[in-house]
Amino acid sequence: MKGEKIRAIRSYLCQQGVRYYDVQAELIDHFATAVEKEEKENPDISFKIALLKAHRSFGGREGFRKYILQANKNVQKKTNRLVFLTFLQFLKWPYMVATISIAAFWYFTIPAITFDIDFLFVAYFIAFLAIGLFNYVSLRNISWYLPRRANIALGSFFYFVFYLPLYIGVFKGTESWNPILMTIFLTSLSIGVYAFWVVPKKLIVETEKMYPQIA
Amino acid sequence: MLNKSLLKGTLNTLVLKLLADNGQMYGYEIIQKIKLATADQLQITEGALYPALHKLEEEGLLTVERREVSGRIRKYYALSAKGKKANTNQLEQMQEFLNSIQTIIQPKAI
Repeated sequence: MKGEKIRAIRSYLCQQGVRYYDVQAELIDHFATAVEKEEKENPDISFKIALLKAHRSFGGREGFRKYILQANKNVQKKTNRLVFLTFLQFLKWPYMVATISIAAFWYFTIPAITFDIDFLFVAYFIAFLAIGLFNYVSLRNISWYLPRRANIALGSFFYFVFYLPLYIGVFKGTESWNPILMTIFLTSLSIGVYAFWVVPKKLIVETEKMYPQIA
Repeated sequence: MLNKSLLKGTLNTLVLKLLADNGQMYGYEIIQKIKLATADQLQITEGALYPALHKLEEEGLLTVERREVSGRIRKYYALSAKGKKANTNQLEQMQEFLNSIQTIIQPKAI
């Protein structure tokens, strides 16, 4: 099939809301194969009609909607899995050494801190915000969705699930917090900053491996 | 054409079996193969097949290879080692299930 027709299929799929490259790649091949078969069996058929027939056999608009919904869920799962694996590596050798070192640093430093510990939380918050913005700007022109989704997912996770409930609910305004709990919190925040920094980059590498043709 | 609800729950088994018999296959090829093998009695929609393939891939039952074919990327699916085991198990279960159904549909005369 000529590049012109493949571009027409891609454009048609985009109109139907298929934005992600891996979903697009599989569907472009599917539609192109279906159109080729139709054109072979019925040489008089126009490209447009053959394409519409392929769409109908997919289940039409409703079929697409269901498919895209499922594809979005898969994207979310892929992102979550990578984030989870990044954290998991800090519990395994050799990253475990880094985890223990960070935890030991905080455990022994916390009692010696003379300034209000809230400043520390604000510093972490600023670090997350800075990395999030940096990632956002550097990924803005990249059409691959996985790194962008990871950046948003990680930012949202840290702020809404981890940072906000623990900071506001457990530590803020408390004079006598548990040093072990505080060490765990600060160690996790440190690893979180690292994950926020590396995960989008890891996803770019992963995407390039999966799709060398578009890299 | 058979009732679609009969197909539910058997799609994964069919896909695994086809891949076990044919090695690497792509989505469109799987659909055509099922249509051909069942003389159009089983018509699987693409909207059902691809999510099933992605789920099997995610569960580690399928491996994926992407190749460039006629100016586009084609995704080939094949059984992983885990998928081969799952295929054997699912086929056995399916056979037992069909035997059980058979005993109800056509009970042997006592």
